[in-house]
Parts: sequence; C-alpha cells; structure tokens
Amino acid sequence: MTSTLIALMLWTAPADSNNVQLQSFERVWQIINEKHWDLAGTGVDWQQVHETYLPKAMKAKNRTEMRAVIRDMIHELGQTHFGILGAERYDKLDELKQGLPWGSGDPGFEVRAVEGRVFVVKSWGNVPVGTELKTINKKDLKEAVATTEKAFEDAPQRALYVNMTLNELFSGPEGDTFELSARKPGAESDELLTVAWHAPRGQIEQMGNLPPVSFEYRTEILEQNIGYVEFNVWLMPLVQHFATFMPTLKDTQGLIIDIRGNGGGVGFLANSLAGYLVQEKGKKLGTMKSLDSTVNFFIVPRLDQRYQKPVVVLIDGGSASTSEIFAAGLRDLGRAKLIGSRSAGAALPSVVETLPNGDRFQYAIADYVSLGGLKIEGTGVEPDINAPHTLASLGQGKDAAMEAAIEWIVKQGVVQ
Amino acid sequence: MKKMLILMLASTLVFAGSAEEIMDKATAAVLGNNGNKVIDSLVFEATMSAPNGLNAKIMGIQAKGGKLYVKTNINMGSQEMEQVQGCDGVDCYEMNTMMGARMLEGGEKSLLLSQHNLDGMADWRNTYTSAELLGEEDVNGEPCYKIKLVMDGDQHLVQYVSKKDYLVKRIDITVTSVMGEMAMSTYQTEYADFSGYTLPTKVTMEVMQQQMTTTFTNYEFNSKVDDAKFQIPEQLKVAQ
Repeated sequence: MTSTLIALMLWTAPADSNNVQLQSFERVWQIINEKHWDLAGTGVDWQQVHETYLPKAMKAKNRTEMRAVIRDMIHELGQTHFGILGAERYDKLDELKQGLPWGSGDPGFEVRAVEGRVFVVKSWGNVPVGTELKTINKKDLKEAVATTEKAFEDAPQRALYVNMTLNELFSGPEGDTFELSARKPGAESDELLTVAWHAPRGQIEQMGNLPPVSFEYRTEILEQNIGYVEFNVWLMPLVQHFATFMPTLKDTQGLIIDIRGNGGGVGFLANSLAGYLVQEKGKKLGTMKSLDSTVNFFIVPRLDQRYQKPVVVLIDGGSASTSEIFAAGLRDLGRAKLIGSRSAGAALPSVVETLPNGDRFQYAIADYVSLGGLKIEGTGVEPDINAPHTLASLGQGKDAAMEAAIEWIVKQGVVQ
Repeated sequence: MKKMLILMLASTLVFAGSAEEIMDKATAAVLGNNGNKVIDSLVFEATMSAPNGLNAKIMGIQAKGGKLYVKTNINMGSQEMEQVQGCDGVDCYEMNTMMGARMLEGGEKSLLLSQHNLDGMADWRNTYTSAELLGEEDVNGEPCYKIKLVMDGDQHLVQYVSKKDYLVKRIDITVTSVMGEMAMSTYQTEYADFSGYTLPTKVTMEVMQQQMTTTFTNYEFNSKVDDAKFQIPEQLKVAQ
C-alpha cells in the first residue's frame, strides 16, 4: 500500500509541480502589478501582457520552461533588477560551460573581454595581469566572448553580464587543475599553463535569502603613499573593515577605492562609507523614489575618522547598483574623481522573494536619481577620466585606470 | 457670510469634541481597569520579520517623561547589525553599525516618540497636540473612526480606532526627515491582555510596497529600570 502511494506521489509530482510553476508566474506578474513605482510610465499594458503570456505559462512543463516565459514577460518592461535571480546568465553559462567542470574554486585571477579577447586584469595567483587567455581546457575563448556578447547585445548592461559570465567560466572544483593556453605580456609565443583552483579567497557571506557570495576585500598602501582598497560586493563586513582601515590612511596623500567588477549589495552601505569622506552634515548621494516614498541616501559624517585627502573611485562596466550610487553621489558632491570606464547602468533598488517553485524573483521597488539629477538605469555613470583596459596597456602588464588614478592623486599633491 | 462662518466653526468644534471623546475611549480601552494606576516603566520584547529574509530581535524600555531605549539586533544571514534608538526626555538619537551615530530630529523624532511614549499611553494628549475626526473607514472589514492626530511641529498621523472596541487598528503616517519622505501604514492586530492592559501582539508595517511584521512576545509594566540607559551617548554629546 505504502509503495503504491509513493509511486502515485512520484507520478503525480510533475502535475503538482506545474501548478507551482503557474503560481510562480502569477506571483511575478502580481508583484510587478502591485509594487512597480510607475508601471503606467513604462508605457506597457501590464494586463495585456498577462493575457499574452498566460497561455505560454500554462504550457510550460518545468521550471526551465517557466523561467523562459517569466523572463520574456519581464523583458517587456525593459528594466533591470526584475528577473529570476541569475537565470538568464546561468542559462548562457550552462551553454558555455559544456565540457568544463563546475565548482566554486578560485583560479587566482579576474578577466575582462577587451576587443573580443580575454585578458587577466587582476591577479593574486601565478597568471600575471595582461596575460591573454586563448583557451581553457582547449575550449576557444574568443568564441566564448563572441557568444556571450551576442547573447547580451540588446541589454544596456551587457558589459556587466559579459563580465560576470566570462569570469564564472574560470571557476571550477577546488583542488583540481585546468589548462590554459595563454600569452603573457611581452611574450612572443603562447604557452600552456596548468592552473589550480583554490578555495575562494574571500569569506563566504549570506545576506538574508540572497545566494551566498564570496566577500573579497583587500587594502594596500601603495609605494606613492596612496591608500588602496578593493572589494567585490557591498556587505556588512565592510563597516568593520573600513573602521580599521581608515585610521591607517592618516599620512597618505590620497585614496583609491576600486569598485571595478563590484556588482552592488546593500544600498545604504554606499552612504555609510561616504560618511568617512564627506565632512558636511546634511549631504546625500542621491534619492530613491518608490510608489509612495522618497528615500535619501543621506550621509552621516563619521565623527572621528573623516578623510580629507583626494579620493579616486575606479569604475568599469562591472560596477553596478550600489557601486554606481556611491560613485555618482561622491562625484556630484565634488568629493571623488571617477576613473575607468562607463559603469553598468543597473541601479534600481530591489528586493528578492522566493517563488512557489523555489526560484528567487528579484524585483525593483524604486528608481534611483543621483544628486545631479542623473538616472543611472540603462545609461551608467561616465568616468571623469576615461581609462579602460586596452590591448596596449595590458600588453605591458599595466592597469590603465590605476595608473591614471595614481597620476591624478600625485598631481593634486603637487597643486596643493 | 457671518452665519456660515459660525456654522463652520461650530461644526469643527463638534468634530473636535468627537475626536477627543473617541481618543479618550481609545486610551481607556488600552488601560482597562488600570486607569488610575501610574505607569512608571514598560519593558517589551519583540521579534520582527522583513523582506529579503531578514529578521530581528527587539528589546525596549520606556519610562515616564518621554524616556526611551530600544535595541534591535538584525540578523541578515551570516551578518548581524545592532541598532539603538533612545530618548532622554528631551533629545533622541540613533546609533547603528552601518550608519554610525546621529541625533534624531523632526519627523523621525516625532515618530519614535509617538510609537513609544509611555506618557502618551496614559493620556494621548501627552503625545498629540490636537485630534480631528476625518470620518469613518473599514480596516480589514472592521468599521473604524478615522482620526487625524497632530504632533509637535508639522508631523501628523491618522489613526483608525475601532467603533466596536475602541482599539487602534491602523495608523498611517508620512515621515519627513533627513531620510526623505516615507509613507507607512501599520496594522495592529491580535490584541491581548498584559497585566490588565490591552495591547497588540502583532503589528504589520507596510512601507515602500514591503511588509514587515513585528510580534510582541512580552510587555512588563513597572519593573525597575536603570535611568542611565536613557542617557545620550557621550560621543553624540561631544558632537552637539
């Protein structure tokens, strides 16, 4: 009897699962219908969208198919921070990863696509900055870049998605190794490198029901007596790290905050950190407008640890959300020089809700406007000094934005 | 014209009278048979759940004279944050791990005091300067009086008082402060008896299209509290 019940349950699971899928579709539509701050302003007839997509949702047989339906429905809005968390990127990653092992192991470097090729732009392992990566386990990387760029060509935030997808190609099982065909800067021929995946260099952190992330944070006093800090996500440990770091900057001639590749995190940490850099009371980094409220990213100046020297914020296409609010806000206050390349343009504050089918639906609840009136969504933040990675700079193993930042800070000292 | 003016004034007075009467009954509904007892202190404990899987533990102490200390420990998965809000009877402040320490002014101060003013529990006139009956409206199907209450400054809120039991079922407020302008509604439900006082055990707040639910697990009246808890922290005194 029991086995029969179990057999029946197993057999009926897909039917129940379909119901859950449909509930998830309805929940996503409902959330946007009720919580979007200006649905009419999008010019989309959201009721009509429901009628269009419901028949497709009813035909979806599993979570993957339903994700596609929900994704297409959300796409009608043309805005970021609405989506099944990571689903689109992971679909593409699934395709690119075929034949490559999965894992959370760290390869010891970070890459960017530059002119259709893959280069190491940050390194904490044996593959130096400026190395061009040509294949991974014999998989052609130029082709991977082309596929990824094609997949996101219509997205205003394509630099962000391409960057994230490419970097995840290089993660793998901890303790295992992989092979790279690569050309190091200045070398005249390619060489085969065997690289090990290590434990993620950061600390695993989880924020509520968001997926766990590896929080990476590094500081340094550069030889020019300039403070340098980089971190990959805006999470609460930053507060303690900054409280420790800022006093060490007392005698430096400037500070570089590197948030290239930093896709965001807790929004109010932007103004929290700005509290160390801004002296005056009553300042803010910008405003978030929702359906019925306006929230200021207000700055509380730190009473005892205010830093008054020149500040550079490094940004690129991987800098999104909180990173953009931080950069745009400090620039508008005249407190930082922005150097690098245009940011992602994905700045809508959002929350994450778990759907009946287990997927996590991320949806925006407000619009962000910088102090200077700039709407970052879809356009991004332009740097004051454009200094992207180029074939020439990487060929010499150099970081163009870092060099420009150091040069600018040193110049400020001379001017003073 | 003169007649119309007199009529308008008269109608305002009638409404004002009704509002005050309703608010007196609302106060009596909370106090129960404790109407003549002096409340020196109130200690409460609560838990809160918020979007994105965040939750918090709250502990609060209130004392006569507008004194307050509320500590909230927010759990965010692998991270935690502590926030303290307090009033010494004159000034109010907030300290939290993320933003640092600051004095509260304007709407934020008024809101904090309206939520936690022990003197206001004994008599609503200790918190609000005027009451106006705006009309009637259902809250979750329950007929309520809709009353506008004005606090010091320009801040005001709207309370929905049940026509049946005179308990507050909903509060609407738009808080204007350094944080911006935030519209919020709170729904008070599941009232229970605590030492003869009738208080809500569940308060659901709607703000920015999100819901946060606070569940009060304990209210303790007139226990001994340390007055030092209500002092403004030294670092903020220096900044002032």
